[in-house]
Parts: sequence; structure tokens; C-alpha cells
Amino acid sequence: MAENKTKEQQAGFRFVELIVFGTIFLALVASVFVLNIIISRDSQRDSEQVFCATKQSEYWQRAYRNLIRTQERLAELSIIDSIQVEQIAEKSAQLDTAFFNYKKAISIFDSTIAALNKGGVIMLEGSEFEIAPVTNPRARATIEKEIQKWTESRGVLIDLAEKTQNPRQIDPTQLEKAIDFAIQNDELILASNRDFIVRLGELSTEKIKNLQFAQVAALVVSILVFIGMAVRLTISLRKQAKIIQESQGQLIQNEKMASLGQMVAGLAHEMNTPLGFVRNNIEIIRENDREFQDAVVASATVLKSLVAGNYSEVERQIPQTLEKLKSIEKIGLVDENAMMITNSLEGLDRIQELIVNLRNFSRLDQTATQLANLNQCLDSTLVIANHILKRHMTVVKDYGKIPDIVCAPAQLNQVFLNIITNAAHACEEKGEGTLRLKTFVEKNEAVVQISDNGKGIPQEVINKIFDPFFTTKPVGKGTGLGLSISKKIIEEGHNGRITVKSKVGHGTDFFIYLPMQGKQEKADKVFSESAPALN
Amino acid sequence: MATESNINILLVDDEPLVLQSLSATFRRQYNIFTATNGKDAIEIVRQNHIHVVLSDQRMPGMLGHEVLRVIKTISPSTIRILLTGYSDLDAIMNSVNSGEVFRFLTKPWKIDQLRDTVGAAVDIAQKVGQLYPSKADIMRTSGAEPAEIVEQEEEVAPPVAGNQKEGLLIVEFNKEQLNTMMQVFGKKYQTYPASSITEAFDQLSKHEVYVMLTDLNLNSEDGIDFLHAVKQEYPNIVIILLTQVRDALLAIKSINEFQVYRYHVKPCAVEDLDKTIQSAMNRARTYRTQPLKNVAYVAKEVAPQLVEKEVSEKTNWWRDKLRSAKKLFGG
Repeated sequence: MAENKTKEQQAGFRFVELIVFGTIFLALVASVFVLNIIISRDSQRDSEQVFCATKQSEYWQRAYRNLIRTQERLAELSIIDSIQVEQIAEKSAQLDTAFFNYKKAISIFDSTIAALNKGGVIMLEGSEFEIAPVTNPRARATIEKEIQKWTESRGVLIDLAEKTQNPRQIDPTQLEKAIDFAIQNDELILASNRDFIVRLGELSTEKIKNLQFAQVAALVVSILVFIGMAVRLTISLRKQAKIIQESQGQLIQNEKMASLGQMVAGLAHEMNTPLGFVRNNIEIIRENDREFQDAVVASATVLKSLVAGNYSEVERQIPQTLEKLKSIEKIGLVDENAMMITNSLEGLDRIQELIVNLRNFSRLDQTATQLANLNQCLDSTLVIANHILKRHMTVVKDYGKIPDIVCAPAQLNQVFLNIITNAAHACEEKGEGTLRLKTFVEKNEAVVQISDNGKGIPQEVINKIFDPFFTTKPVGKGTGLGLSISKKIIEEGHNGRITVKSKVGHGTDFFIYLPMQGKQEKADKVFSESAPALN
Repeated sequence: MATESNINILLVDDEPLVLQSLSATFRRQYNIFTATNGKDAIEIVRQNHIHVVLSDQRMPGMLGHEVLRVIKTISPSTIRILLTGYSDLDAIMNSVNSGEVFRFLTKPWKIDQLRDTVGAAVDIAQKVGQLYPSKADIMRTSGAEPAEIVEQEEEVAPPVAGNQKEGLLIVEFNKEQLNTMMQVFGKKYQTYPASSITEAFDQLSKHEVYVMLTDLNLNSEDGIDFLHAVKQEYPNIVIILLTQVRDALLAIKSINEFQVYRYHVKPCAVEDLDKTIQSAMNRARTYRTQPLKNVAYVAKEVAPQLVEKEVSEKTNWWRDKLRSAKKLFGG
């Protein structure tokens, strides 16, 4: 019981272990996926920022160019004569366009700066782009100065763009200031943007490297975990297999003990009877012997008196002695004793026969494999099974002439006993039955047919009867291994076959086919080791 | 082999050598009949007045206890002895409860024991024989089927006397089970509970007990000795055993030592147990009116040597106690 419990605990522990391994494995796989998703989202953000930065420098350049052109057109307008109406109109239109372009570009530039700084939405060619703020400190460092500069002086450029209604009435000082700023910072802004883009590229390369490393690491770890799991599983499976094997061995041992018990029971029963009457006979012989002795003593006394010539004594003793002799004669003690002795000897012969038969049945003192006669095997099995058969079975022997075959007689006897016992049980309900034992030769095989006319085996279980642990007997009565072991003995031990035919209500026939040219193992060496020279 | 004895004994065994041996053992004292199978044995019992039958258990065709069962119905005064060998244990269990056996003898036997047992059986048979009509009478009213005779025997028991309930002593070590049984049988019978041998002893000395239902742990010598002593001092008490296990050796002992009436294995159906108690009550009443029907009583009367031989010291101690208690209470 205690052993079972520890086994259960072990099994439970292994189960838990399996769960732990499985969880670790799954967690690793999942974390690689999560990492992938995070990093791909990161790089999407980065590429948006790169897009934003590219647009930023583009629009800066556009704003810068248009600001300069605005100033040029204004200057040109101021020197053109008012008479040259056509020229004025052309130049004004150019001014308007330049300023309008500047206005648009500078506002987009402003929004891109804000987006990179704090995050936000930019409108480009009618589409909205949501940009995340730059958080990576190394990336941010590249644009920090630009942002700072712009935040300080954006008023100048934005005000110029927003407050001016008519470009021709532009405030020259403000324009001057804006141009100043633009000229001073153009280089910085463009460089910052370039740097930012390059830095983001660097960062993403780094990230990809990290990701690759993480993926490889996770892969390696999960392979390790997998291997660990496999190893542990193999070990525990082996253990389980061992446990199963052990318990199977135990069951086979039980079956052996059961058939041994059957044999002992049969033997004890068969011995009891002769032992009982032999003992009784000897006691009777002893009792009778006392009377014989009495008579002998009395006769001797008469004879002695006669020799001594003591006739009066003789006369007195003769009637008593005659009485004793007569009584012995009358009861028939001499005959009785003779009979008792004959019977006892027969009883002892029977016991001796039983012992010889026991040797034939179990062959403990002989080699396992030997030349044996199947008919004899059946006969010695019948003696052992007699106590099961005696009450209700009629045994009919139909032995054919079969040559001795090489086999393991003790094992075959076990098979025969098993099938004969089943046959006896099959006829139990009916109260009487016939057991037919037939042997014959068919092709190259010796065949033993064991038939009964008992209740038969139902069609639905006939395929299962050779399965281990299949039994129709109540719990504790049969191990369910008898026929499976029989099959093993016949098929694996003897290269034979065992088949069954049965009809419910009519009986069952077992056929055992054994090849006749069984291989006899011959030692091809004289010595078990390489022969040393004897001195 | 003719002897002048008027005692007929029948030997049944399928083995002729055993029959010869047994015949030689008894032929000087008794008339011997032999049969090698159950059918012949039954025929001989029908034809002759057989005092004692000694049968082997394991024979082709009818088993020994089955033969004895039939003989009991044909000739109730015949004392039946069963000779059992190894591996007959299962059959023994059944035979105990059909009440056909006076004694079990196990193979191989000792000649003295065999002679003593058969001798006692012969004495009892002669005594009991007075009770039943002679074979000739039965033969005259031929056609009387064996079964009817049994029925007749049961009918002989007088009906329950008025409102007086008969005593049922229940001995059970497990208090819970004792209470359950008291509840089940309390209404129907005058029940006396006892949860130990000492309590049972007290109840026995104070009340008149007809039937004793007991779950003594009979594997302990105490239990068997006590029951043996009880049966010795109160041969009219009918004992029913309730046990946890089917144990053939125990069954043999309880037949041989205190002629147990029935042997029930726990758990058993209430109805079955009640039926057993009822028939045990009938039996107990019969014993009181016709003591000769009580084999245990007769055995004590005519063959005390057989009974005494089986007594152990402990039993004697219990017997003394029971005896003095009896005197004290005037039971």
C-alpha cells in the first residue's frame, strides 16, 4: 500500500514537472513573439519619424527658398517704374506665389518640429500622419538644438507668415529678421535632420541586432528546455515501463505460483487416499499380528510341554491354543493380513507412481529442453488434474502415434494443465462432461487437440481469451494470465501455434501445433572457455 | 464376514481399497455395507436400517455431502460422518449449513480416532433410533417421499407458547452492529445483548436462552472454548454463527466442537438471518420437548468420552463457571 502511494506520488511529481517544462517552453516561444511585435512597432514608429524628418528638411528648404524669393520680388518691385504695369503685375503675382508657398511650408515645418518634439499629427498633401515623440535620448540629442533654436525664434517666421495679409505691405524689418534667422540656421536645421535620420538608422540596426540576438538566445534556451523535457520524459517513461514490467513479472510469478498450487493440491489429494488406507491397513495388520503372536506363543508353549513330556500341561493347554487358532481361522485373519499387505503395497506403489509422475510433470531435475513424448506429457498432466476431473469428467484418450519431439515438457505440461482445468470448469455447470485428448501428426507438425463438451466460449470474447488479464472467473479465482502464458510458451518457446474453436453450448476445442523438427541446441565447443593447457 | 452384530454401518467411497481397509477396521464389531457411489449408498439406506454412514466427500457423480443430505431425509436417525480430504473445503462450507453432518473426519485419519467417532455415532444412533419409526414402518407407508419426512420433522415443533417470547442472545463485539441487530430483532424476539464473553456469560446465567447468535472471534481459542462450554452446559441452545470470513477449518471445528446450527457470512440479508433464527427457534423448541432429537444432547448422554476428549482446560474453566452460576441463579 505504502509502496503504491509513493509510486503515485512519483507519478504526480513527474506530471507536475512535465507541466513546468511545458510552461517554460511555451513562455519562451511567446516572449519571442511579443519581442518581435514590440520591435516591429518600434521600427514602424522610427520609419514614421524618419519620414517626418525628411519632410521637415524638405519643407524647410522650400520655406527658405520662398522667403528669399519673396525678398527678391519685393526688391524688384520697388525699383520697377510704376508705368511698367505689365511687369508690376507679373512680379506681384510671383511675389504672391512665393509668399504663399513660404507660408504653407513654414507651417508644415513648424508642425513637424512639434510632432517630433511632443508627438502629434501632421497634414501632408491631404493625408494625416500620426507621429510619436522622439524619446530615444541619442536620437533626441541630434535634434535637440534645432528644436531649441526653432522654439526660441519661431515667432519671427510664423508671425511673418500669419500676420502679413498682403505680401507687398510686408514689414521689411521682420522680413529682414526672418531671413537672418533662416540664413543663420539653414545649415543647422539641415544637418540636424540628416544626423537624426542617420542616428535612427543606426538605432534600428542596433535594435535588429538585439532582436536577432534575443531570438537566437530564446531559440537556444527553448531547445535546451525541450531537450531537458525530452530527457526527463524518457527517464520517467523508462521508469514507468520498468514498474509495469516489474508488476507484470509479479503477475507472471503469481500465475506460476497458482499453477504450482494447483499441482500441489492435486498431488496432495491423490496422495491422501492411498496414505489414508495404507496407514489404516498397517494398524489393522499390527492388531492382527498381536493375535498371531498370541497363537504362536500358545502353540510354542504346547510344543515345549510336549517335548518336556509334561502331558497334563499339554492336555490343559491344547484347548486354549486351538481356540486361538480357530478364531484366527474363523475371522480369516491370515487372509485379511495378506490382503491388507497386498493393498498396502499397492497403495505405496501408487504413492511412488505419483512421485514419479510429479517428476515427469515438473521435470525439475532435468534439462528444460529435451526429447519427449506428448502422449506421456498428457498422461502425467491427467494425473495432476485428476482431482479436478474425477467428479464430473469422463476422459477419452485418442492418442495417435507421434514421434518424440524436442520441447520443454514441463512448460507444455503447464499449458495442458491450464487448458484441461478450463475444460473441467466449463463442464461444471452441466454437472458432467467429456474431456477428449487427441494427438496426431499433420504435415510436419504434431497436433494436440483438447476438447470438452462444456458451455463453450461466446463469440464476442473468443478473440480475447489469449489476452493477458482476460478472465471470466471471479476476482481472485484466476489471474487471467493462464492462456496468455500458454500462448507465449507455445508460440515463442516452441515456434508452434495454438488455436481455438468453440460453440456456445456445445464445447470448446483447443489445437496445439508443435513443429516436429525442433532444433536441438548443440554445444559446438568442448570447453566453456578457451581451453587452457593442464599441467 | 458375517457377524452377529445388529448394528449396520455403511461405508461409501469410490476407492475399493479404502472400502476394504475400512471394512477390515469395523467388521468385527458391526455389520458392514459398502457402496462405491452415492446412488448405491442411497439404495442401501432405503433397503436397510443403517445406524451410521461414513462417506468420502469427493466421488464421481454425487459428492459426499449431497449423499448425506439425501440419506438424512430418508433416514433421519442415521448418524452421518463425512470423510474429507484436501481441497474439499468449499463443499464443506455448504454441508455445514444443510446440517447433514455429525462429524467431519479429515484424511489421512488415525484408526483410534476413527473407531471412537464411529463408536460414539453408533451409540447415538441407537438412542436416537427410539424416536423414529422403524424402517419397516417407513417401508410399509411406502411412497412417503423423503422430503415429506423432513417437513414432518419441522412440524413437530410446537407453536409459539402464548405471548411468551423466546430468548435470543446476541453476542457481538462491535457495539454499533450489536445495536443494529437489537433494533432489527428486538421486536420479534426477547433479545439479550452481549458485547463480550463475560456479558454473554451473565446473560446466559440470568435468562433462558433458546438461540444464540454470535460473532465471537472464533479464531481466538477463547471463543471456541466458550461456545464449546456453552453447548456442554446448555445443549438445548441452538448456536448460529456470524463471521467475517468463509473459513472451512473453522466450519469443521464449529460442527465438531459445538454442533453449530448455521454459519452465516457477514454481511448477510436480514431476511435470511431472520429465517435462520426462526428455524433455530423451532429447533430449540423441539430440543426441549424431544431431547433425543438433539444430537449434541444425546452425544453428551451416551458418548461422554467422545465429547470430553475434545475439551481443553479453558473449556473446563468456563464450564465450571457456568455450572456454579447456574446453581446460584437456580437456572
